[in-house]
Amino acid sequence: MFTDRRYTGQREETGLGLYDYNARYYDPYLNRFIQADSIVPGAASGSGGGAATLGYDSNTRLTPLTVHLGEFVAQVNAENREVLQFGAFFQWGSKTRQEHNVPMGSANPQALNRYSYALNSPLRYVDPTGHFVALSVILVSGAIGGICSAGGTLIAQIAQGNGTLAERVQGVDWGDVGIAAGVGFVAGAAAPVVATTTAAAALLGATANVVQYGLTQWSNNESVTPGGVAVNAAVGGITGGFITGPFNPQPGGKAIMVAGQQFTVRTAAAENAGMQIWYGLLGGGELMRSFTSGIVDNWDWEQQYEEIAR
Amino acid sequence: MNLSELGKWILNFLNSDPFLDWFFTTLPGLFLWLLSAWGSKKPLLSMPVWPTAAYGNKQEKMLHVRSYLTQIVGLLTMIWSLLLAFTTTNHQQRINLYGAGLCILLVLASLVVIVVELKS
Repeated sequence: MFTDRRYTGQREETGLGLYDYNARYYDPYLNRFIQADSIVPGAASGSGGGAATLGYDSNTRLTPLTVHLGEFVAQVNAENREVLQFGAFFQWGSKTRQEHNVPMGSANPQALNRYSYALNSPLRYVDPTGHFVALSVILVSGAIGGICSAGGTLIAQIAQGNGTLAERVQGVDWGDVGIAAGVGFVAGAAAPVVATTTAAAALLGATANVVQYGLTQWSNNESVTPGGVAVNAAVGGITGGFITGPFNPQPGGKAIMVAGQQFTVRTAAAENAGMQIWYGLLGGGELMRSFTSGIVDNWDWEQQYEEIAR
Repeated sequence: MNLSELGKWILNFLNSDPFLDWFFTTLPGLFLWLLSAWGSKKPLLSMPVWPTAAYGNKQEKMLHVRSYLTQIVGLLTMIWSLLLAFTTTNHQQRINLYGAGLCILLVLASLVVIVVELKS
């Protein structure tokens, strides 16, 4: 062999016959890691929220790990009782989570399987297109879109205002900011469902911006002009397509499935990282959509031309 | 210059057009940079998983491409607004030139995204 690197880049300890996966060793003959994963997944992993891993979720008290059969069976029974009483983990409120041990902690082997996070009942509870996941994603992205869009409009208005800071703030049209918040919320909420390709994301941004432009003009008793619609569609399309981009509910998920079952526990971390980037980009897109159109809408072309000519 | 004069000068400076224009035109750039940098660090994955996770599928890769490009746009926006604060003479001109620069940046960045997306 010219290299001790294996197929996915891990180093082989030739003397030991083990693969070095940094955090732990993998035995290719047993098809298992020789140590337990130090990241313990909670049931919420893969639901789009944060994985309830040790040290991450302060509301989570994981069931202690046990190797005694009797204790283990007792824990599983207790968990099943709680699930019957309160539903699956992700349906619990934070109060219930604090009062009870998490039903699917490290003591439950099903929780270690990426695909059994809903107690191995995917038909009943959740898959990436499932009801609960979609709802939470929509609300979060809607909130991000609304806040960032309102912020963009607010900053644009203050930047364009005249005089001191106080005068500029007094001159802010809060109705416009409210409209931006509303349109941003709807656009943000629609994004995970609608914007699955770059073109769709661009179209969503353009539509949102034109709607915002129309509502703003209407609330200020100003006319909607073809030029205004075109400029706003262009700005919305560019910011939507370039920054926000398509949404993939499971970034990395497929790749890791191909790489092998031993990675499945970590898929939730990859998924959450992808979600985080996407949320950031959604916020950035909505911010720039609102901000840029706020700046461009009040462009005084004639004055600009005169100044350049002078 | 005594203290009250210094205070007045600072207040005048903070309320001057170049400063306010710079501050509020650089703010979106800052937010854009922070928002797109947010989470674009490597997740806590062991080494062989990370490249597989990041570049194994196209949508995941495009997320990172967008993230880095957006960070660059945010930084360039901040630099552009700082340049304008020093070089332009009036408020309207500053805002107009800023808007023009912003549009050019966004168009260029979206062109890059389109090229990368089509080529990968």
